[in-house]
Amino acid sequence: MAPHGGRVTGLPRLTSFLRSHANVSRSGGDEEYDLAQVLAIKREERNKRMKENGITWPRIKDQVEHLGKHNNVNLECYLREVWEVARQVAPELDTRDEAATLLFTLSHDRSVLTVKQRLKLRQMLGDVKPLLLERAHKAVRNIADLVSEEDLVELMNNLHIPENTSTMFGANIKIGPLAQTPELLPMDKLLDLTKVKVVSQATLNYDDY
Amino acid sequence: VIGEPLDKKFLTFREKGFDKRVPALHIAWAHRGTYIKYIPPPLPEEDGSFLPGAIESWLEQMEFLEQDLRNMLNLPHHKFWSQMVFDPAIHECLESYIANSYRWYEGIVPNDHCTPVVESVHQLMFLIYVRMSTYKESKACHITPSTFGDIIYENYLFDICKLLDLCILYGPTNSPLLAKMITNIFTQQPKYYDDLSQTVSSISLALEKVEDKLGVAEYCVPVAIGAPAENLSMADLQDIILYLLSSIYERVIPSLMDMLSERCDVSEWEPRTIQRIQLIRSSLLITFRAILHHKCLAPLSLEKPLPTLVGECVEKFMQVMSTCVGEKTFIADYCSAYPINTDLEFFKQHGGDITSLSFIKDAVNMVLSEMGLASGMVGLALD
Repeated sequence: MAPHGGRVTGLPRLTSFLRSHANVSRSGGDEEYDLAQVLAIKREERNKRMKENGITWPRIKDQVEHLGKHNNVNLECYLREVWEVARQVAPELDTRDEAATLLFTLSHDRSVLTVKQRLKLRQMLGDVKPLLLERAHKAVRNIADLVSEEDLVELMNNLHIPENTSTMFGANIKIGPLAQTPELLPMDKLLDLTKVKVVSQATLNYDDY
Repeated sequence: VIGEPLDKKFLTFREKGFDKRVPALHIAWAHRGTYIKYIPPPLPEEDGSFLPGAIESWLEQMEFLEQDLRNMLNLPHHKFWSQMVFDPAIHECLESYIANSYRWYEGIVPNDHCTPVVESVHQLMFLIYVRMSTYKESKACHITPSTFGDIIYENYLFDICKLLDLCILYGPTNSPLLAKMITNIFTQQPKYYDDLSQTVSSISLALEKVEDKLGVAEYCVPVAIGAPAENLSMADLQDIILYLLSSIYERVIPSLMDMLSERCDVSEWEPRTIQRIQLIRSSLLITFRAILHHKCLAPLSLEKPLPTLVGECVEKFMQVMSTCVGEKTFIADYCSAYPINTDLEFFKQHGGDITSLSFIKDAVNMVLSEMGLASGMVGLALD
């Protein structure tokens, strides 16, 4: 196999050493990895996917208004409230739809925002003031109370177009959890190396004995 | 199987209004992807807090990584293989995980929010490698076995370093599936044996560097170490393996213990450091036992092994043990954990002539007695 090219990660791993010295791995991999650039591409892909999946703010707004009319309630002020929060957390028009969609999606079936959801929101929207999140959440919860949470969940499910209906490879393979320390030999059976001094090599140096 | 294998199949796709017929394994089915490279979850600062945004940033990266892995697993057979062969970037992504993820022996527990994501990435990564090691995915999705062997080797889908990484990551909890994968890979592509031999000599080099650091390298170095890898005979390789044993067990570990003793009192040693040294000892003994068992004892588990087979196994056992008996620390530990009497009894039960082994037994007993371990030994399980 071709020589590698000297990639060594910072972690003290035997395979890192081998990748550099054993000539049994792929050479190359020298293309620069710019995380910021990769993240920008991935975020764009995510936005595109979200749009293609059918959950967009105009569709949510339209369907929720329709549901409100069906229940004889006016939900416009609450939807406006969510949009207003989105305007504040995402000043650019391009990302505002995404922000409003996310705020609505994460709040519609939860009476309280969990830590995980807050992390997700921060991940996508940046460091948003908790007060603003509460405002949006409260508005969505008001909608859920007025039209019933069940109907709102059903509406959101209908908006979502599943990305892939094929069966994923390995769906039926059971994979074990992260490895834990395997069973070791009982150490009391082995030599106590702090007490035993092994002279494994002969030497003529008297001081060594 | 149904239909032609992937490597012989042709598929049609429409481009600019025309039907084009291309091989099922072709760059036309792949796309140049952009992938996140795995980094381990952030660790807390000394006060237990995390750098602001560190967890969120990591979670976002992992969300993208998970999405890409799911997409790969959802790809139809021909697209998956085309992607694997014609998109080198995906391998940098996969390798970033197996090379950089935390190992079980490092004892690092990620933050509660990160743990489920680590689990998920761990499983998805393994499934990708399982898929890559499978030449027959279903009756209709298959590759000619010999061509499969060439594809995985020539395109570096697997190499020895990746296999070693997979073993450490997935060995303890996915051993049967991992064993099946590795058997499949080595069976369909015997060139991996040569690479494995070459890797063994590189491991020696790594250990020499450790010895240099510890200042214990002045003793015997087998002649084979300096020889070019392609000239190594089987005997040379055996020498190297024994050198590893002697190097780590007889010199490196005792030297580490000495250095620790010099620096502070035994009672002040950090438990984790000691645990790790003990882990090295235990792992080496278990590995040695597994190899010895596989070569010398397991073949006799047949219902009625032929006397020639029994003779060969006894002979191999004698060769290995007579070479190791000079490594006093090792042999004392090994025979305390796996008493030689049990093995001799096993050979006897299978009609083996153990007369030739009696001097080994005497030598072992002498070492044990010298180390104060001769009496009261209770054997562990045979395998």
